[in-house]
Amino acid sequence: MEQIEENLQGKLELLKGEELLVITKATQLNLLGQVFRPIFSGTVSDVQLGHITLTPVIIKMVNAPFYRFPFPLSIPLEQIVSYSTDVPSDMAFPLT
Amino acid sequence: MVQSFNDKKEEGIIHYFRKNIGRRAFMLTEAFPFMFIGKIKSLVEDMVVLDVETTSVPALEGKEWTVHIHSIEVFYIETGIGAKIPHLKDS
Repeated sequence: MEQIEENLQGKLELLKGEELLVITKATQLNLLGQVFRPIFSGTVSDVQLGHITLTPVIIKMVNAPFYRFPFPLSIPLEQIVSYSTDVPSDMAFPLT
Repeated sequence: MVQSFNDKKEEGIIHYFRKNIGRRAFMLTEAFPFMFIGKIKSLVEDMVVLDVETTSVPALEGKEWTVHIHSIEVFYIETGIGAKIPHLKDS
């Protein structure tokens, strides 16, 4: 049976207020000398045509896997490689 | 006319940056110098023109930079309501 294709925008709208784990394209990012993989976890606070915003947002750094970033982060939908609503932000998993 | 899904995402993000000209933005790119904080001055097609106050490299600060919107991995734009981007040069 063929599944009815959903609209991504609509699907994301429904995630407002929910916790999301998002992985983006870059091999690594660099925040003032700290190198980390682009793995972000947080609550969806806003969904717009080209991006979603997580508030608060946790950056999963290797030596600080629950580093709470001081302000919200928006992620262009184009950069999203994968996301899951089934991984709670307080769950520990290997980052390498 | 059918627009590809990627075109739709691309248009959305450019529109959002254009809407926020004049505001302070934070962005990370995979490419050097990895971080920009500055005021959005204008848009040139899919490039955003910034008055850069902070980057990872002090020598590159206080200059105008043009950044390809599609190379921005994550960002945040101050909207007046909500959190502010800290001024890292206060010290």
